[in-house]
Amino acid sequence: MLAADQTDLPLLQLAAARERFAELRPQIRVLDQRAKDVGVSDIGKLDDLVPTLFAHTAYKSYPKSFVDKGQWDRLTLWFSTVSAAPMDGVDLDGVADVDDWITRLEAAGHFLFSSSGTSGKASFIDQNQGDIDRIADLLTRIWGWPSPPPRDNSRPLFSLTPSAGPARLVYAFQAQAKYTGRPGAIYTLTDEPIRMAELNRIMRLQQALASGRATPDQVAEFEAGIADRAGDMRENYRRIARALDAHRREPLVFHGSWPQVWSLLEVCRELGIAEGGFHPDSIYLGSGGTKGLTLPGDYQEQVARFFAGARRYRGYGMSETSTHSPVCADGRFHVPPWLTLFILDETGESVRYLPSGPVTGRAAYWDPVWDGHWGGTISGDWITADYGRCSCGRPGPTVADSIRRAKDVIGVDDDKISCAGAIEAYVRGAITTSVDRV
Amino acid sequence: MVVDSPSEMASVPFVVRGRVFEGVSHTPYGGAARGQAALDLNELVWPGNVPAPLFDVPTAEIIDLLGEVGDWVRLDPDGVMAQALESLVEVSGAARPLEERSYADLWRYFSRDLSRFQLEQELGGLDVLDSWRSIEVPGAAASSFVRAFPARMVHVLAGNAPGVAAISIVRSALVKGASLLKMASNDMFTAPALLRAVSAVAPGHPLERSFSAVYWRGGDDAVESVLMRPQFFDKLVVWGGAQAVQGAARYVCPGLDLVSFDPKTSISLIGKEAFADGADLRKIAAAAATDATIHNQDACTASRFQFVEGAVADVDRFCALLVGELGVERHKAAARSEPVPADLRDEIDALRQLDPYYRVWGATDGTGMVVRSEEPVSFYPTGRVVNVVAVSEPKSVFEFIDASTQTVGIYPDRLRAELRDQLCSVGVQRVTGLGHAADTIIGLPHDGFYPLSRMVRWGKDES
Repeated sequence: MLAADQTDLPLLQLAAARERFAELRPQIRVLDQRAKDVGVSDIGKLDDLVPTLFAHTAYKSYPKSFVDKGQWDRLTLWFSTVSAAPMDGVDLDGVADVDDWITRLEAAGHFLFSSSGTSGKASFIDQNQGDIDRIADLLTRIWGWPSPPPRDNSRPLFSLTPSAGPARLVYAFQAQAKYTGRPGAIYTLTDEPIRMAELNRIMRLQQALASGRATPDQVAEFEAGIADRAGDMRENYRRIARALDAHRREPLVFHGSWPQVWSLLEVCRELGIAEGGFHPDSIYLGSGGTKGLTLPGDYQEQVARFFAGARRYRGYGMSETSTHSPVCADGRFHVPPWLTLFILDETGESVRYLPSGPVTGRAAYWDPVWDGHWGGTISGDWITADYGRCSCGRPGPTVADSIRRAKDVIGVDDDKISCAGAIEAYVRGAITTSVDRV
Repeated sequence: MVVDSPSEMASVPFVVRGRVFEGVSHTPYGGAARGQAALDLNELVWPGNVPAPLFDVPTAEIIDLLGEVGDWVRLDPDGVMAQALESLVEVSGAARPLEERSYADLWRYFSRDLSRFQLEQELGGLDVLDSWRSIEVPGAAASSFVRAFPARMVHVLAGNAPGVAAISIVRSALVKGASLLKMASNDMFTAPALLRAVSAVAPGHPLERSFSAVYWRGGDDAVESVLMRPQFFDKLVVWGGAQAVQGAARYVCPGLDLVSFDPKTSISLIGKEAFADGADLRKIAAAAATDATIHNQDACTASRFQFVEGAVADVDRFCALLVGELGVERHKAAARSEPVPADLRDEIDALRQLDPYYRVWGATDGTGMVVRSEEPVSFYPTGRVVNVVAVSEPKSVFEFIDASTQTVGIYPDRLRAELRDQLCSVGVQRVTGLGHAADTIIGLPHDGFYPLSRMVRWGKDES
């Protein structure tokens, strides 16, 4: 499906954009407000979408106090402004923490996913059941491209994620469990769901630290570091390591973020589990960054030696888009045809485009798949793309394997110093936890 | 020793102990200059085994010379200041009328009266710089003596206000120090221009040999890890930014002290009297706006959070007047700033939807915005954005004060008198009347300490 000839693709994308904008603008208050502010009344050409794209910060634009103080009605009011579906019928009675809140929303048909970075605030994005179904379908058709595993529930499935929780990684696991995984041979890191409240507790501690209201005991707890809970997870890793060993002669599917994959590799070594010998139709994926952990420089090679025999799969994506872009034999990431890729300048306001040849800038996407929220997102990635035909023979756009964080690139010459500053500067050690580090 | 330090930077004049390197970038920063002469680090240090150049110069003479420097800066006979101003506006994108007013004020920092005032307040007089001050110790038969000795300093300057360079030069000169001024990328012109004024009035004088002003990229190890050692310098004087302070703190070790003007946040506190009969709410809003827009809200003294005691309807009346006043051109503010940054705009757009808990006035175009809330917003207001927090009593402010709170501008005076003990007890460094946050008095404590006493090495003779 990534070989679709792109000649009429822009027209199809434009038609979809027109339709979705007209449909969603009346439903999403912040989109309506933005459209009014920037004077976009309809989408005449694809570039008209650019001023309507949201930075990922739009999905964490609620006041932190709503969560800290348990003002769930206010948080719901905020969530309704970035969501396409009304929040009527969400029962907030007796909600104790943010996980309760998420569960109540689910009960009312809002399946939100969340991510949390270093800023201390989690983002919340709404999806409905249709979104989940469509994305599961798309994911399992793309994952493993150009020869994805069959969708016949025949493969042992390993996912180094929790099996439940409001995160895209978990939804990806659930999609593979639905289509790919063989019942009885599906392995996750834990069935303990991701708890947002735990993350919030850590963030509140950081806040107390900043304002000078934390006790020395709390400071010690903070410094001891949100301690790597890898220790508690050890037994789970052993269980997965043994299962992996038992299934290595079968075509299996394996996915994990690099720090978890590395932990598993260490446990396999401890248990004396041999490297290599994996079935040639097996596919493994290590994803994400290293989350500030110090892994050996050649960790990817070491993991590759362990999985010898299996095929390594790679993709480039972000949690805000419905689908990731898989890599081709020439090492370029192919953007799926239903995503519109924009390359923006430093300001995020102007589009950079060339019919072929490298174009560098900030990646932004418009994604027509979502019903639950507006699919226009400006990413934090600085990429080099090419809208022309790839050397592998397939049409573009493709993204080069040189993705960096935009702030690392365009922040480079900003050596401005001003005496104004906030309390965050006074806290030693910053939060580096994130929900997908379990 | 000559080092390379890569970065993209326009060619700017540097001054090294009186010698001006004009038209030639003295670093290899940037295309044309790449591979040319780089920073000569040997030229930037003062040997530790001989007294600093100003050691033997009477303080009164230094004060006189500084006064002459001020006159020269005011008259600008060679157009050096005008050229620096032009470059600052052109290259750094600073607001012209605002910087014109800042430059027109620069000479005042060099005033003889102000110099004497600083030394009186901070060191107890001039004598301790020129001679040993005799101290009577209870129970001791003979006197002891103390004297302030010059230190070798690196000043990491902030670039958000031209006065920073002037204050730093005057302070260093008054304590006879030898100072390397490391400029910020947002002002690489003011410090060299002021040092050229020093050269003009005192050619060949030790004062001229006591200063250099250069640029390297902050955090550049090729320069900093070489220079920032007790062998070469005694004091690191850093104006925040958080990154600047944390960057410099890496080099602190025995023999190399940190004197830090930390990054700060300032706030306002407005009591219920503002809404009493006969109170001029517009005038109060104008005072609040004056405090909020200091250097286009790019200063630590600029108010970002304003706690207003009153019913929400009254507070909203204040907000409506405040937003109108934010876009007014003032002595320390242009009529508008850069547009509100995108990430802040997203947050504010969300709050617009959260009526009645939040209310938003104004536009994102840099003419000013006001966000009214029940408690402080979780973002850092900048770009002419003021968060007005409606409170039922002034003491609510204590919940939100911490070590980063610098100035609290208060209306009315009654409230200031009532709260100043408690405010300063919990970390606030400065209280002022509303509308006077910019009227910093040099010679009084700065960020909680007396800078001159930290910029010397104290010697003693104990009998």
